[in-house]
Amino acid sequence: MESTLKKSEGCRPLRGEFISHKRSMVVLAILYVFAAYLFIQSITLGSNESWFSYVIMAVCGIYTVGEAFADTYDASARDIQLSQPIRAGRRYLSKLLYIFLRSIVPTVLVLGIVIAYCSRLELDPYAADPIIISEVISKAVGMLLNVALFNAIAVLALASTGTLLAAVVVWLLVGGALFRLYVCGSYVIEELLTSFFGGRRISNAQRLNGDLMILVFAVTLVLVAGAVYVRRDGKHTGRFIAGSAAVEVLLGTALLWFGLAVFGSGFTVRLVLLILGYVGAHILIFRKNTIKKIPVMAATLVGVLAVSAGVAWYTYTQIVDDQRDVNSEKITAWSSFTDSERGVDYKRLETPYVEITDSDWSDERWREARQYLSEPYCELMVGSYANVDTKWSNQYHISNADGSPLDQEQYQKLVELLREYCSKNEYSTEHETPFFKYLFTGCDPVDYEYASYGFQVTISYDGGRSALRERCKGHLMTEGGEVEIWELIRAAGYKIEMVTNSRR
Amino acid sequence: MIELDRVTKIFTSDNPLKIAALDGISLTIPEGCVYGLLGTNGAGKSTLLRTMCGIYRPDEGSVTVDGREVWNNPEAKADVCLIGDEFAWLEKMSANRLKAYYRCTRPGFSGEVFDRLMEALALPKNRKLSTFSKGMRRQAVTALGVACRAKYLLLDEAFEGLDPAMRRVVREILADEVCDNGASVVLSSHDVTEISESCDHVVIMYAGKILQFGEIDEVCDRYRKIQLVSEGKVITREELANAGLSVLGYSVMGNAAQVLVRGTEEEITAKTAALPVSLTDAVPLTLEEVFVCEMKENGYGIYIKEE
Repeated sequence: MESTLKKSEGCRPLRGEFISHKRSMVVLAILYVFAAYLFIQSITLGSNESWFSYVIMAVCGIYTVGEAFADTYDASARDIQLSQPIRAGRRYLSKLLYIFLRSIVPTVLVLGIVIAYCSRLELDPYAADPIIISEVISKAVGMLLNVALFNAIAVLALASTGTLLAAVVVWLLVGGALFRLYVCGSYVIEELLTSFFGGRRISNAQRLNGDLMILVFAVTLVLVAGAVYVRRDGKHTGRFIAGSAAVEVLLGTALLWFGLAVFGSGFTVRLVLLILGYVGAHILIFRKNTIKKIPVMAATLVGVLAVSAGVAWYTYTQIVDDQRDVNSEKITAWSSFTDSERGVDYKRLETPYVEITDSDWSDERWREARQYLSEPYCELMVGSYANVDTKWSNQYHISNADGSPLDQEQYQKLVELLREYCSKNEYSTEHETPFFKYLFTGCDPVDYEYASYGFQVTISYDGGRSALRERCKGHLMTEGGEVEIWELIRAAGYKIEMVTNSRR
Repeated sequence: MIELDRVTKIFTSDNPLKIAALDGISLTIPEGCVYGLLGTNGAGKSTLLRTMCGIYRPDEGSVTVDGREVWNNPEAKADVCLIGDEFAWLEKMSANRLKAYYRCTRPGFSGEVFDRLMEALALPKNRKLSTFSKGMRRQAVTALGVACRAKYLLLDEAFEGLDPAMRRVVREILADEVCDNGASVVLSSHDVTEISESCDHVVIMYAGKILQFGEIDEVCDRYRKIQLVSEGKVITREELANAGLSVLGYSVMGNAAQVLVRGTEEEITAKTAALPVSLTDAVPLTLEEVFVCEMKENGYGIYIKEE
């Protein structure tokens, strides 16, 4: 018996978990091919279709997760799968393997095809819009991790609930929360620490490595989901939600991130809204007498808050340290590439960056140089290739009314103007938020996602270097709220014009 | 043997009163017998079967198979096979694929037995079960269960959707399984006739509790339908109760009272000896009568008129 059992447990993944209609498999294959096509289009044409290809692959992955975890919401699948002589942990691993084969592998294939195709295009020196393969690979890795994260959220949602509806609710909560966290993780960390540790400042927190965060999220979610799945029995299948402590924590975490990331009011207001939202969501989801559970909910919130802040702070410090080391290497490489420091300025703040002021290079030289310029290593460029960074959405050129460049004094006036604008719009200058740093130092990488807080702008200015002074004019990158800024700047007697609106 | 020791299972979702689906159930199912679970809708039959095969973890008590806890224990689960009343998930597969799946997951699964039964039942092996009729699906999954060669085969609503001829065939298949392999079969059903014809033991359940269990004849022998004739006034139900009889049913016909009571003939004779009546008849109840009596006694089926 023992040997046959081992043989049975050795079948992986279980055949029964491969149940897929041929029709749905064909549809999935077509969707993956379509995703590859859109991704290639987005690279070769510089369009936005990569977002659609990402969504397609994520949806295909979630569908696969739904198939694999049918036993969590389908009573017949539960009866059959849970009555088989297989340990819950083994069954969970088998499902993960199924998801890997049916979602991650196709995604890798799609991205591999895209990379292979683009690497051929990269060889074309006459291409109008040159392709940097390292950028494509970086983007592909990001997409793969995002698909994995979405799958992991779906696994957690299904493992902790009993119906597809409940799973969708949890998926949206966690997915939305993690998305917000990804976009402005550093902002949240800073808010937490500012609130709890007496205004302690964290600068450059926005440099948190997004890919690493996603990977950590995905692995954590899969582990948590595994613990929940192994513990649960079949009784929740087909019922609205598992009223377990895990779900309480899940809900608390989700709403915590939502509350801190979304609301624009003060911390106290956010906390009150968060608690109200948590209680409301609890009533909706659990449909129980929540008055008795208020102490539990309060304890959950406090626990989640403490754990999240601790983990986030630790992760942040680790990542920033690593980032600093990597950037040092990058600058060394850049220095080696330029053969001298002519035309290149280095600054070493908390995180190093490179300013390039030499626009006399040939096209080939610039193209070659770009491999050193992917964010966050070099964000600020002046000259004919100012739009080389993939994250610039729009660039605006600020000069005097007659078109002459701004000098230091004029720049300072502009800064004062914008500082006043910030104060009026509740962009505090005291806490030196990431946004504020963007605005006034021009030294940090710009992430245009921060535009959701209002607008973003990065200004390159005369730092006292003669080469820069000659060439540098103000660059104002905005997304959202630009009309207001335009009017403000024009009213102050400056000339502002759009230089480029390309986005790669 | 499968042993359930004070097993309690409570579903908390949408159950503010925390009513137990299984309420302190203790039961022993030996090898080589056919057990019938008989109960009303919601009595806990399916929950009991799912708990016995390790789908549900008991909130209290324990379920062991040959001394091994069944929950999350592959060795114990390998000896138990459940064919539930819901198998829509299997319907996506053809019989051949079902065979492949069960061969992979069940250590004792016999593809030969499965093929033989499918042929005997004249069921196509290359078509998905979703293309079968309801009865054909039931036959196919029953064949699947038998082919698992488990020591304990649990069948939920085993005869649902089967025509009389096929019921007989399935019954014979299950009987062969018991005779040839010494397996135990546990059937759940609402159909009293089916249970009485297919099983040698019965468990009568209501509201998560076991009301009666044992061999069917023995269970029926615990009840008597008696006729008490008196001269003049017909004896009342209260008088019978005062005499210590456990009255389950009472009706009057002329000067005779027809009464359903718990107890053996000897016990009833002793208790009625002091009454001014003569006991003219005392016959055991059928399983159906026992079931109806027990349900009425527990307030179920209040529209069933007393005869």
